[in-house]
Amino acid sequence: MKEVLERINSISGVKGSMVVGKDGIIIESSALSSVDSDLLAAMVAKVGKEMEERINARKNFMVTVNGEGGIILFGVEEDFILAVIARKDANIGGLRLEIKKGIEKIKEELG
Amino acid sequence: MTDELMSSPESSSVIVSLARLYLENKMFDQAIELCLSSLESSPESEELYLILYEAYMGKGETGKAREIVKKGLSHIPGSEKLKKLVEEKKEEVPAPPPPPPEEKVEEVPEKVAVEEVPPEKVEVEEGDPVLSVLKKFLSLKDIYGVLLVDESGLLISQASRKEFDYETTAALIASMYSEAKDALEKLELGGFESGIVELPRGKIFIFEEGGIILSVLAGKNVMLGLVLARARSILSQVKKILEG
Repeated sequence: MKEVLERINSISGVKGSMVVGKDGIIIESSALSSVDSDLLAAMVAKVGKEMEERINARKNFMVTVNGEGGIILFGVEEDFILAVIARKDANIGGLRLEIKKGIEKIKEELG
Repeated sequence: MTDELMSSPESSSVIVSLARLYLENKMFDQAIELCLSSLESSPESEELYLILYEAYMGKGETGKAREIVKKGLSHIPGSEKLKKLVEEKKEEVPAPPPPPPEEKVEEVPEKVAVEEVPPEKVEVEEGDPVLSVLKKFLSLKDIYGVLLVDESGLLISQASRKEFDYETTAALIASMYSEAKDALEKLELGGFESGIVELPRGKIFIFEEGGIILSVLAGKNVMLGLVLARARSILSQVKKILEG
């Protein structure tokens, strides 16, 4: 899991990444020095839950939220959320691919 | 089932409850349809007129809201609640967002004559330029629908290739937007610019500018970059039209 997060963090513009439970508790995190990781975990779980309810899907979807000062991306699965926080100039295309790959690896690991 | 409910006088409270439920969930069209059908058998139900009034107001159709209150008073002349609504409408000073053209018509004396035009007609005229801009989006490959919504979840306009429940979708989109905006604020990532929800069967895009939310519903193979590039320009055009 740590390896997955480190691969994601190696992408240009990424500030940090984490695996979060659906309850907002951090399972694993990496390189989030400038970010309140507990807050990010709580926010991602909250937004993920809202999306789940609105689109009526519990897993297998990805959310990208672009703010004026940064981007949050996260993939939602049955038991966990893989979340990434990045700068506006990050390589979003590459990041999305890495998140998808990472989700598959974590699913296998938690399997 | 609705027919059975309507045929039974004691079930009118069930209809009212159901209509109220539609109203609470911003399902204005469903509330209107239910109340109008029910009025045929219960034309003296004050509650149905009150719900209809709220539903029309929720849709921004103030002309229809006024008409239904008048109709209610013709059946129930003693209704204090309906009389109060008529009084409030007379004294009403410009309401907050969104700026429905009909309210301006009420304020400007020279345009009083316009009030005689059926409200539906006014709305169509006002809606057309926005609709034509939205329809441009539909020309892109894999785009199924475009909705314009205000921050409170009220539908402003929509264009789509498929039929779906636009009012409910509008409310859901506004709710997702609000949640994402809140997260960005708390994480000090600035104001909301856009959001994308990618599902196995399609994608939902959300953009916001000046309190107007543009949502694009697309197939799973849509080009993300193309939608992102076009959406901002479409949203700016729509905003100009609505302000103009």
